[in-house]
Amino acid sequence: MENRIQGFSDKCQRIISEIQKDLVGQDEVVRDTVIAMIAGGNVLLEGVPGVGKTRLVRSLGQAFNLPFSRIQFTPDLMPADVTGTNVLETYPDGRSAIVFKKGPVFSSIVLADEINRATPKTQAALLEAMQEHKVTVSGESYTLSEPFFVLATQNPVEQDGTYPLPEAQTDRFMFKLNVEFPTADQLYDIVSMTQKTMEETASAVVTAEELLDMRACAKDIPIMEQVMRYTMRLVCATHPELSASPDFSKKYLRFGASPRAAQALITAGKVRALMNGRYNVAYEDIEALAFPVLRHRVKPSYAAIADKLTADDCIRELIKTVLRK
Amino acid sequence: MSIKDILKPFKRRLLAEAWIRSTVLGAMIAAAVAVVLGGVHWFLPQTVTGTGILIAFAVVLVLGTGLSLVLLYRPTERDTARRLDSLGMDERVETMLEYEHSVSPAARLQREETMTRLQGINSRTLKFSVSKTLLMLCSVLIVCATVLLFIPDIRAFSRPPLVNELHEMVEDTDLSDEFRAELEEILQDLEKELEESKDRDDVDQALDSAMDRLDESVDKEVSREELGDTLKDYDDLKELGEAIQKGDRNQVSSALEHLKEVMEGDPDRQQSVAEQLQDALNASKTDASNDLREALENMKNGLSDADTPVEEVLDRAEAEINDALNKQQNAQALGDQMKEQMGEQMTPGDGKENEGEQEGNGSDNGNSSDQGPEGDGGEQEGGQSGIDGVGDGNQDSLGNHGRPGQMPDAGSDGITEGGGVGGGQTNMKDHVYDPQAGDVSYGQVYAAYVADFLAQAERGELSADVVEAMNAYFESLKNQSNGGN
Repeated sequence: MENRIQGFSDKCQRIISEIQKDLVGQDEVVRDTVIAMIAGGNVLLEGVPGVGKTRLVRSLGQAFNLPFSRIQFTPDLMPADVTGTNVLETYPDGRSAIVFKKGPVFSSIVLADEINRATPKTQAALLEAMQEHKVTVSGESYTLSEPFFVLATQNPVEQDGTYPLPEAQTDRFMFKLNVEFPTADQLYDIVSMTQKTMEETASAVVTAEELLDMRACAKDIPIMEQVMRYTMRLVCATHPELSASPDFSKKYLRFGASPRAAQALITAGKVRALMNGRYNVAYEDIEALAFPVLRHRVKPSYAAIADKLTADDCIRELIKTVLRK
Repeated sequence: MSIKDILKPFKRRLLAEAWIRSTVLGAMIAAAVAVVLGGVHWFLPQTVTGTGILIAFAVVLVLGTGLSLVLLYRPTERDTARRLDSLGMDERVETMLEYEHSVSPAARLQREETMTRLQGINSRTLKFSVSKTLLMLCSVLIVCATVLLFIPDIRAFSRPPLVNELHEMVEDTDLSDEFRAELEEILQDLEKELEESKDRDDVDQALDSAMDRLDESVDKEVSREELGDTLKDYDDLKELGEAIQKGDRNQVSSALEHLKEVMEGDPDRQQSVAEQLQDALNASKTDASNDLREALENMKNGLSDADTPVEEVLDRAEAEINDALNKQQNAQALGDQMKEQMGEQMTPGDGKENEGEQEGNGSDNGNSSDQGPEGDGGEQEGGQSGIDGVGDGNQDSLGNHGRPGQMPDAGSDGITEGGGVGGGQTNMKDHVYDPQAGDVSYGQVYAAYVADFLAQAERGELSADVVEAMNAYFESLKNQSNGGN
């Protein structure tokens, strides 16, 4: 076990290096995606088209040596298109039987592209799978294989004809990552690279078993009580309805993060600590992860919008306000 | 190596820092106390002394430092861990302490990694940190306290010069605490009355009242006459009583020596002396807080205690009696000087300013002669002293030289007897007492007066009649001068 813990950081670095072979820039997105994947969480990627979201998922699949599937969400996509459905199958000997035809969700890494284009009913089908790691069709449940990881994308610009994810559903994503448009230099590198080949070149670094083992190792990492309490205070501070919340929250936030946020911060914090070669969670881990964990869980108020404050601005201010000790 | 061993050098470092912080806080509290006391001292000088403030500062400093060290700043291992983590250890040390007994592989790895890192850190990396606000506040308070303690009394600038001068005289003289406090009170009242006075009569009245109170205080303070007289009624204490009455330290010493010889090896006699002393003290009307009385009481207590060697008791008694006598003589001299100063400010002919001359009060412990030289010429009818009593219009000039004869020593020397103009008799012996110069011979005083007289005569400042009268007067004293020396 000790050797596995000691080798954790190296493995993570190797995974990230492999993915970066296919993806120019987006270091933070890559790192946070790997953290979420090891921690067992799902990621909502938000970015304009063509910034490498699909490529990231493909590379992840290759680096982790895991099966990968992609679902393009459209308004006419049905839940059965995601989960699969019972079909009448006729065998060569003439017999027929109803059998369950697995949908694309039965994979280890699922890319739900433009998730907000599908109807809520279809979104819900995927979200149940994300939360429960199982699919129920016609009253029968099918367990998804582990590890299971959903990476959903949505376009922040084009909102016509979309069905924005309700807060209760976005809460099921551990991280929401903003994929920024690359800089001119990065764009140059992207174009140069894709002129040579469009294929992903990342090679497998870990297996599914090793990924699960890494997840188990991370859970064992010690976190001191003060850091835990700080995390809870930070999450509570996002709730404007609590009397102990800072005035900033009361003014600029409409509602705060759920307990899942606190769980996500601690779990992901442990992975981040190990990834950085540290065997304990530090305040720094929690503060760094507060942005991807909380940005889709807090809702800025009209006052915040009027003052041109984004969710990230609010989180930054809360980190300044909440005392560590 | 255990976690505690690893943390030890860092904890020691933090303890040193805790001492510094405690001292700063202690000093701040002490300075605050000093400022408060300094304020009290400034407004009510007789209630708090400068030494008292310094002692209070020291005591509060020690207590404040100790208490803040124990209650606030003493570093725990947790504090040490927190400080180390602040050096970029990313909560490693605190986590290590919290998971000290955990057997999980991750916790064990965490401990090992943290300890390895700590071994590479020098304890001096922990810089002493003291709150700048606290330091600044402490400095400001110390400066305030110092200013309140050591700047010249700025009230002196608004005081009448006379009161100021009297204050200085009181400050410069070695006196008992009670007497000093009484004088301060008298001067405060005088200052207030002078401020409120509307005309010359009010001023005279204020001075008159102050002089009366001064007399009362001096009489109360100078107890040697009464106590000495009381002691004289007892066989074994007679010699001591006489010595005290005269204020003669040599005689006190010899009386105590004699007592020692009498009591040595005779416990019954020692007990008897103690009982006589008790009786004498019971009979005395002197205030219980009087220093001389206290010295005698201590002597009585020492003698009553058979375990204390007589020699030790008497040595201590001698020191205490002499100290008390010294203070009483100072009080007496100071009282006279103050009255003299106040007398000078009174309206001539008011009747009080030359009290000594008019009354010729040789009975006032023999020290009233100081009033004579300062008196306004022509007013005196009862020139009381052989020297000062020449006051017949030449007093102003003679008065300048009257100071050496101002304070005859405790009634033994220079006791004067009032008389008519120039008719004063003196029984001055060999020496007179000068508060500035100490004992001077009568011959010197005489010579000084004659020289002054001759100088004035030479300058033609004196009429022929006066010169003739003075010549006759000095001739009559010449024999005494020769004999006295």
